[in-house]
Amino acid sequence: MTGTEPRVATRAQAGTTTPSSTPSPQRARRRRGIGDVLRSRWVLVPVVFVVMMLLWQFIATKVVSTELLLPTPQRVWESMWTALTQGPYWGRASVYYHFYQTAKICIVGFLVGSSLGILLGVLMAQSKVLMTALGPYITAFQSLPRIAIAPIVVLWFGQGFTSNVVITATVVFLPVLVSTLSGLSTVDRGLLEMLRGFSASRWQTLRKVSLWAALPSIFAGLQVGIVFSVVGAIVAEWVGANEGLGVLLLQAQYSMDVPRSFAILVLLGVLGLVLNGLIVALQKAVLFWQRDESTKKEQRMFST
Amino acid sequence: MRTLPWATRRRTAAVAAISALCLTGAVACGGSAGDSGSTGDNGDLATLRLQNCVSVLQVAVAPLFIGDQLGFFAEEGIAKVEVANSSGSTAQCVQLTAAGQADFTSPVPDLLLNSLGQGVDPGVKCVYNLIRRPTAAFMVDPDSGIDSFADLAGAKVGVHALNSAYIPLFEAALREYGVDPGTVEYQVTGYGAQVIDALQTKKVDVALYWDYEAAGYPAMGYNPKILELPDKINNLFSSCIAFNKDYVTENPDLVAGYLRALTKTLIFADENPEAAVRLFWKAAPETKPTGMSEEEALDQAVAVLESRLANVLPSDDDPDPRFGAWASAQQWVDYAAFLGLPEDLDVASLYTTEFIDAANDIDGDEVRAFAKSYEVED
Repeated sequence: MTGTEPRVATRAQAGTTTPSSTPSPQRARRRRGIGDVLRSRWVLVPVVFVVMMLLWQFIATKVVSTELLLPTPQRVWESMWTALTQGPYWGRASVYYHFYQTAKICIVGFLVGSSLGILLGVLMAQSKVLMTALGPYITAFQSLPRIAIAPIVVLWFGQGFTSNVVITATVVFLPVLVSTLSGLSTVDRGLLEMLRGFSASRWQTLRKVSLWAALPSIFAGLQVGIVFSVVGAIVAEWVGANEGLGVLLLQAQYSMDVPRSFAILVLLGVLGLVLNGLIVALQKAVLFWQRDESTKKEQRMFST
Repeated sequence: MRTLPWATRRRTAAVAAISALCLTGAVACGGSAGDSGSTGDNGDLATLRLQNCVSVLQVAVAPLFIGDQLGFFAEEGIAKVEVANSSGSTAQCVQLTAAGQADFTSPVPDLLLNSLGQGVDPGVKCVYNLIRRPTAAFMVDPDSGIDSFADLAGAKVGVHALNSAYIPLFEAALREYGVDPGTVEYQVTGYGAQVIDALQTKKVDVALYWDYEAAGYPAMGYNPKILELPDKINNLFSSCIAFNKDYVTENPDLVAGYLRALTKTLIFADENPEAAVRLFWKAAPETKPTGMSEEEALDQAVAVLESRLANVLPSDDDPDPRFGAWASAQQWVDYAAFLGLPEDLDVASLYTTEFIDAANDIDGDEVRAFAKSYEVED
């Protein structure tokens, strides 16, 4: 073959001791062994699920022995299946309708609470005066149990969607605020000094470096916040609502239908998983460099 | 993997932010439509807002709002009654009504009298004696060996909330039997199955609940013993229909009209409780009991409704047998004395009898005939 072979620097010429970054065909990736397969999500999650169901069945039938306290998984499944497949599929008699109402409160409450959390976090990170002035009050406010302030919120805003969103937003607010502050306070000093050297304004520094650097931390807060939004929505519905999974849960308790109560709890768990999944997907789309870094890390792991 | 250019990163972040804002706006707009609105007109008909003092709708309160389906409300210029639930606290529902977030509610008189006793105007006025007898159902386990209040010194007491309106009644009953109320200990025992478990496992010795709550337990296979109340308590009355004070002043015709419709609905429910239950389920389908047959659900619901109606409907023994009437003005004074409040308390500011005649201006026989032949459409 004619042509010049690519010049490969020897270790001496490169002055480094790092191995070649291009794996040779002979150095194939390490094969995934049975251990890797067993440790994968696709195996572990179903296994844990089966173990939990078996444990639940054992406790319900051998330890507790009364449906009043703990129905069996089968009874819960039957109740859920009935609720999901028995029409109507919309309206106050439909579990889908109530699921939608709760999801609506979660999403809007989350957006309001997280927006305020991020905004205030950015402002407080930029101003020591603001941080010193507001910090203790925010901590004190967040220490108040939501179940205690919820009736006051209903009194101020009236019963309905608005008060439900406000209650949910108060639950979401602090985790997002704290994660925003944390992220903004741990930006690489070297980068900040470099920008200072280039006479970048405070706004330019924030927009071009700080916010992007803080995003991983902010998203961590958002993941916590979205799960808390389900808690907030249920508290809101318990204090005063006519619709939503929280109302169905109370109704099931009143009717002494314990399997249905558990079925609704399962649906609440599903709601939390779905909402969390949305945030994780958004995180992967926005924080694409984390994806790049994990791919490079995988490549380094499997090349020798 | 190749690195995305800055322009693409900015676009991604911008799209995410704008989508979030649009979603918030769209959902908030859709959600706001569901907000309980203020009393407004439905054409020429008014909509009233009822603040339910319990956290879920129960069939026992059905007569307060199913009148629209029977045509009783339309006859009085009312389109419908919108019901909002509260956290189970009477105090909250009175506050919400006084603040104008609801037009009327059904509080127990203890709260109103105690507020007045502390110099606080509760902001609502009772216009109709809805529940004429105490609804208290103080339950003990049938195997507990507890026969009366005299056996409850040092007892653990279960309540649905630590500010339960039944606590003052309970403590008064203890005093009647020579037991110091300071020796008992209260704990929250929820509802339904939780209460049954608490009684059966001796987590509590007595549970302070109400008529229709206790009426639902036999269907679950549990028959609690209900302690007999002392005469002093049996002579008291219970919940009234209380409107926001300003609402009474500004809309007396609507108040009178609603009370007339309510009286008709109570008579209807007495004559045809099955139809009343089915109408309630149509208005609030999520309340229909699940996990049982339609027949079982209907039987259970009728039992609950009838247990409440027994304390609502006037009897020939009542000093004033008109619907919504109190025995006399002295009954309010006696209630205040029962709560240990000053004798000179202006209890008359808490209620009015000006609507009782209007509420009874109906043809009861005609309503009963209508109820007998009424069939609920699917």
